[in-house]
Amino acid sequence: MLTLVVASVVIYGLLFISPGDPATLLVGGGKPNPEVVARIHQEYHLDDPFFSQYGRWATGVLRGDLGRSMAYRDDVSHLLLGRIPNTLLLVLFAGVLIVIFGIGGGTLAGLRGGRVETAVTVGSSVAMAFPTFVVAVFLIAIFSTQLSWFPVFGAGQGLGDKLWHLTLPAISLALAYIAWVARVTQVSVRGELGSEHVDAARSRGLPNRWIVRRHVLRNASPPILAVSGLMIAGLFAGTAVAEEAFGIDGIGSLLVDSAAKQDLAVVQILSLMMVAAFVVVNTVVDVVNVALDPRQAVKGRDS
Amino acid sequence: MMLRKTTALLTVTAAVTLVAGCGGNGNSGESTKAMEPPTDASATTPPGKGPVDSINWALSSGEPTTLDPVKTGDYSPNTVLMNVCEPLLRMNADYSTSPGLAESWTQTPTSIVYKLRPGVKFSNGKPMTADDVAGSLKRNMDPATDPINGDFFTSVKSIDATGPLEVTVTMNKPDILFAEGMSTEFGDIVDVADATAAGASYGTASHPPICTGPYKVASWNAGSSITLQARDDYWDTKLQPMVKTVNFKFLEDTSTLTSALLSGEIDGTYEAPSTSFDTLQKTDAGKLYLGPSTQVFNLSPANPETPMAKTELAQALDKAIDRAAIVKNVWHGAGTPNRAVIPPSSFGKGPGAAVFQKAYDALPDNSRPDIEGAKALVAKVGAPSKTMTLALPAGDQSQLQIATFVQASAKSIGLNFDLKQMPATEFSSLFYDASKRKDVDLVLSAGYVEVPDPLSYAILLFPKDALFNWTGFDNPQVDADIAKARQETDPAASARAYVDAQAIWEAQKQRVPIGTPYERLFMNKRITGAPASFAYINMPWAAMIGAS
Amino acid sequence: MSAIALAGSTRVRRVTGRLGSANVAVAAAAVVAVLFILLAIFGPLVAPHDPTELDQLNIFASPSPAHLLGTDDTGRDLLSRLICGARPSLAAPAVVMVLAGAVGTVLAVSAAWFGGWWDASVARFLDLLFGFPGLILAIVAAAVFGSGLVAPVIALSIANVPYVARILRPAALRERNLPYIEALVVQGQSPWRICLRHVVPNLGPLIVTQIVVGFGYAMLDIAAVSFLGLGLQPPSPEWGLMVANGKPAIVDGNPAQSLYAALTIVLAVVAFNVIGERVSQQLLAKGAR
Repeated sequence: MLTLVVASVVIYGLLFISPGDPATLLVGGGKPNPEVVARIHQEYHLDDPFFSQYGRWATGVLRGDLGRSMAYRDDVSHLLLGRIPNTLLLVLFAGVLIVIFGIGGGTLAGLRGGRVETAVTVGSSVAMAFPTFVVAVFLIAIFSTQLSWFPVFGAGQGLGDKLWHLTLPAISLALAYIAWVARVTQVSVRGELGSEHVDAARSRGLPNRWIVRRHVLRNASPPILAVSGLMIAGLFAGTAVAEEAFGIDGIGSLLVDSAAKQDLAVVQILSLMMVAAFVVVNTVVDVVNVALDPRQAVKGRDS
Repeated sequence: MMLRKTTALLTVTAAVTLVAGCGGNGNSGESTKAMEPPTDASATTPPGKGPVDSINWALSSGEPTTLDPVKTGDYSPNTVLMNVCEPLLRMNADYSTSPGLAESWTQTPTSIVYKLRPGVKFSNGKPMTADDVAGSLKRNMDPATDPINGDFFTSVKSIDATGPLEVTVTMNKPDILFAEGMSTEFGDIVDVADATAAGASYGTASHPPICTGPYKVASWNAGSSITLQARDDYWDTKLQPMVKTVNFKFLEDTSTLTSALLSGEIDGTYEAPSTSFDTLQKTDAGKLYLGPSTQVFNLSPANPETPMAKTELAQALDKAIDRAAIVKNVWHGAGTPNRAVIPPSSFGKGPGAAVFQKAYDALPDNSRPDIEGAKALVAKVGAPSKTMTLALPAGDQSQLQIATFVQASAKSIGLNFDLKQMPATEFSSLFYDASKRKDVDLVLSAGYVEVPDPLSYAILLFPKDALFNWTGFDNPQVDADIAKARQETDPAASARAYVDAQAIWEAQKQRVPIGTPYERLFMNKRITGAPASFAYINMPWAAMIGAS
Repeated sequence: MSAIALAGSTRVRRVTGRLGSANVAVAAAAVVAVLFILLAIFGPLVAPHDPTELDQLNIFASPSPAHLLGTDDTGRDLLSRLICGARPSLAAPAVVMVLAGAVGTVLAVSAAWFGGWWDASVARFLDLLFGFPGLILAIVAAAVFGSGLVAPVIALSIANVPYVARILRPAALRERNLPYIEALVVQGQSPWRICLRHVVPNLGPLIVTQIVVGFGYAMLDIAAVSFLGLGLQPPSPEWGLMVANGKPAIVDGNPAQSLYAALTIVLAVVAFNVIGERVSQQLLAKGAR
């Protein structure tokens, strides 16, 4: 897609607008022998014109050569391999929490009303203001000193252990989104409940559960889906903070650490991945939205 | 509804305040116990008593950048490397040395002949030969390998294999430091054929070194862990490794490292975080051992033009710093203030020790500040009008603490500093690239003395062309004394020449000393035996660990 | 059917009945927000201690009359640091949103004015950028330009532009098509003048709303950047930085610094979000003109 290509040019161009000679990063803080620096310039083609370097990089990426990290002295692809599973598991876990508590909670609140509704509304208003790093710090404070139900570091080994380790990070990642999704769901469900066609169905004596499923939930879903695209993007961004805070070896912490070390090769690849994921997710959401409600296709984008 | 929301927020606030209140230990009676200076600092821990399947060990300085012996000389690489590769002489926990791969040696002023131990095999089964020894040592002098310890080889004329198990080192002039250096990583012996074949990737994750030590590198997953496996054909029958597998994890974040130690997920670490001192001392998951150390924290003027290069201002800062408070607040009492840049813990036990100690004791006690005296010194030359920069490595809360204390002390005498935290690569480039130092005025550095001889550190600081002489200090007498100290064959005479140089250099305050913390070793209660002294950095410490 | 309708309307009445207390909450939020803004302006004058004043003998002190919230790891008064931290913690997000507002307005108005391919391009650009996490842009900016607040602030402004512009564009379009604007064009007034004197001021409330609504989220993002160590450097008392610097002390039993700073952030964000929500509701209630 065009976006991806343009974004990749911009991302690659970052290397050029950054101050300093990238070769010194490669020397890694040792003695800067001018011969060594010159050799690095040659080896990495650092003096070629921009588009020639870009071309080399881009074709390399397409072929699977993601470049070399200067800080870790290893291929970027190696670095990614071990970390992607952790991040994916974390995001999935958070997603499950959001679906269960967010959509579930919001639906319950919308359907039941009364105390449940108030609780969810209040809770979500407060929780929406808790960014990932705040929740993380609270959880670390509680679980590292007072209780010890969950570990506060690392990703563990093996699936079960990993899930146990990722519980607190997933909670800190998901909390604000649970609140947001619960809110949106609740409002949407509530709105649907009071709508005419639901009233009509009820008056015809159709079973409530059937009404809820067929009419309320189905029609309440577009707004939820609309925010889920934004949400998934936000979740990936949140992994940067959650992984840093809990010491997890994932893509997010790799991005932060590489940014701190100004290891641009890694940052470039990770940015590209983020943009690609973003584009894919948005496309999927659009498609799903249209499938669920063909009217969306007509509405277009600029409302 | 919204009122309820505000109430909810207030409840959360109250809850949090409670947690915060419960957690904080402030200056209550309980915590003063932890603040008392330790009385049981010992170089060793109770010996290990049985086999252990595997342990997880944390490298608190992160992943090693290389395991090539000629390129290292830093915390993480050495911690791993010295269990895999061995030097000619073995270092002991009390900084004494014993025969290692060199069984014996004869020394004349300009030559050393090492008789090598027979029957030693590399981890790939090949026997160690004199060619390997000569080749390994020579790698430190070969510009193609980009070595960093070349300073110790400047007097070497040639290194030759002069017999199947004999290596002769011939020198241009006597050099007392060379022999001492053979107990550190630059005396490490590697399989030279393998090193040459590996080329530029030697020592990286794709090609770790093959050596003679008690462990071999089983795997190195870049970015996550290094695994060492015990060898069953290690030559030293008196030091057979009891732990079969050592898994190194890279944990720089102090909170996660501490949590991991408390929960038992990590069995041990060196340089346990000072910020978690109290928790680590109190926990029953394991024990925090304190040992002697030759680590030093100093403040170095960064270039010849900075105001801090003026002796009076450096002396003023020296007087203004409250070292006792730093020892108490940052190291929880587990440390000592230093009167000179090179600490007493590096004096060793040889004939020179008494000389070093006498000279050190003659220096004024600077553990408590003398603000009036400091202000007078500043008044003599005038305080600089601009705000200066104090550089320190990013991500280390206890170094930030030290820097903050220094900043406050400086401010009280009219010297204003901004703190600049730099990421690791940028910070280490300060040490080797003069152009990077132009924008900073003072650098907070944590270094260490590797061998028990102050001279080994002094050659990097005092002489005019020394690697870390950043202020352009130029004193021919000092240069002459250092050269003399180096060429002496009698340790006491060498010491005397050194203290003459030290007297001049310290008087000029080219670096402001702060202090030396004790080594902090944490071991889970299921294991014991690792050396608690900082000498671990050149020892096969993992081979000493066993079940408790 | 009537019974259901009745039940529905009763519920509606119950919700509106609570609007009274909702107003109280908004008022409370306004008070908090104004307090923080005042602290941002006058903080250093009001703080009981100098935020950089150490007390080397009194680190991690418990709350006491001298130090109402205790001290941090170098003996600095936590309350004073929180107060003085208001300025950097609020100023940065303010800059982010004002920049986003400015750029968003320019894009929206120009798109509405010129129409055609420019409008299509702007729309496309906004669509693409919309929802891309600002935090990621800020981290990448820090990777390229080093840590500090300038690069992340600019990155976050860019990330927030689509939110602002998306709302403004239709409004700008409507403005553009109003008869009196057409009249001005016919009169021969320059587009610049028309936009600056009429269109933009009419969009004013909408622009301000977007700035206020986005402020809370910008504050969270900036705090996160500082928490990650990529923003302001010590010894700045910026709240996100205080959370990060206090983190090592949590496991050692001294969570005060991190927790108080975190709570302050949350309090400020909630206050501004509540106000933003109300302002936004008011504007929607007035209807899209």
